Amino acid sequence: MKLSRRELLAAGLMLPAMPTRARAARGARIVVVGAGFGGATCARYLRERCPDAQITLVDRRAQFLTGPFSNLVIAGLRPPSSISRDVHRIAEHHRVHLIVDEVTAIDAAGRQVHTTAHGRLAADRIVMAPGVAMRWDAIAGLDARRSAQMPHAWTGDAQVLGLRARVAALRDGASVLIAAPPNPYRCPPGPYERASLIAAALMRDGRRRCKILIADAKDDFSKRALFQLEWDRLYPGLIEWIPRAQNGEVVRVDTAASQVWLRDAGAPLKVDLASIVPPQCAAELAVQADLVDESGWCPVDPASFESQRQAHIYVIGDAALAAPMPKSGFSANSQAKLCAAAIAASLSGAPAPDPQLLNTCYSLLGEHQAISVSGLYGAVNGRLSALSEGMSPLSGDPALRAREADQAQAWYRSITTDSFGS
Amino acid sequence: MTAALPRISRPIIALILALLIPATAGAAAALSPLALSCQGCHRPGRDSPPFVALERLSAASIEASLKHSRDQPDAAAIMPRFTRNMSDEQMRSLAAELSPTAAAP
Repeated sequence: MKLSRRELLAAGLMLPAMPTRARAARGARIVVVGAGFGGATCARYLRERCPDAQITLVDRRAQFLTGPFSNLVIAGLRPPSSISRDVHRIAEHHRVHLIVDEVTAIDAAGRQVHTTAHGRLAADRIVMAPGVAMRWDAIAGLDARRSAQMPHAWTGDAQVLGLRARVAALRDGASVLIAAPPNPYRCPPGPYERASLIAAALMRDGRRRCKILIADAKDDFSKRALFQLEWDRLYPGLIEWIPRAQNGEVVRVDTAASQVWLRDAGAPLKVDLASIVPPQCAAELAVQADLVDESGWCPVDPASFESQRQAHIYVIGDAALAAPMPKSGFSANSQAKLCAAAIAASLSGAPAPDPQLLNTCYSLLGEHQAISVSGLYGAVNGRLSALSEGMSPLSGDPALRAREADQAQAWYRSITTDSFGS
Repeated sequence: MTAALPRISRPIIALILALLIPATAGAAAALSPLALSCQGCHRPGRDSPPFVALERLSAASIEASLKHSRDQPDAAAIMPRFTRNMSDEQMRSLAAELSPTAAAP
């Protein structure tokens, strides 16, 4: 049986008049705020699933440095250009409209995104991937301006390059202090990977009399046994971890004098270089949009990552309350794919997607040694749960650590190509 | 079946087609979120050693690999961390999605 051209044309002409939910996906306006791993990935897969939707990606940065592999750059083991991504190229690759501008507010009820120079963007769905903010009230003497003297280098900006220069300039015998924040925060193994890679750089350059202190606001951390085992093997005596129970929490700093006070310590520590990673919460934009609960993070429906506080607004990546998933680039990438599928389904009336998510966090111990932790996650009874997890074996030999380092390199190439197009 | 078709007017069939097209456009090739997440490491289109491009493998081969990682886990490997509690049916479904060869009749 064949339909005539006239009948097919008639079918086409009927489309604009059909107020069906299936029709809604065609002209839907979707604004994605944030072009990091979560936002960029979501924009890409929204384009694939909703080819006729108006998808706008908004970010205030024209360029940024990725969090993954930034510790290699800080240690001088990889060039900054290798982790730099251009937002225009991302949008071009993903075939979405780009606005490089500051988002000043989210009107959740009116479903509008307010920008500094581009006015108000109306949307049927808003995806928020704004990342984290530093809690500047948590450590006395530390604020956004003075942080440049004790760089956290945690948000892909100039602080990464500043810390890289400071590490390169360390003399043999210098002291380095890395302050690790309380949970939850972006990239849980990050402070410990940073210590490992700075140690690797110091050893490589013959600065073997240096000392790295990790002052921790907690008593345990991701892959702790693995890190400590490998520190003893690779960098004996170079890295010392001070847990909270031993007053490891940094409570005050004097950035001008390069001094750091640990809890209950009468006298400050004078160090040559401090990298203070402050406690964190969801970015200010999420707070302003009333997406944040008393935890400081954004509660979401784990089946879709739609906000539990604002309908038709979705929160993915580090700002979301998505435990037990760690706040990682891989987690954000995986959440973005679920979110895009859920939005497409909600617009078209199709069945909701099966909410299953993956993550692997690779941590580099040196240029050619790595460990990892992975998990499969799913929504069970309305809560995000780990369906299975695992990490590198403690008994792993140097050959395994080297294989995992190769995997980490391959993973970085794959995940950045998937998320950013390059 | 074919005998019943002429009883439905052609304009109605055209209308049904029009209703179906928007719901399926762009969705036919869409993988599940889990399958897409596999591609976070297994980049489509090219091998990125040690990660192989899964679409070059048959569904049977992918399914067998998934089952092997669950039933005879290598403590040094990543995959058993994902497959430990997966059912045979989940593995079959995932393998079918990831291998285009499975879509062939």
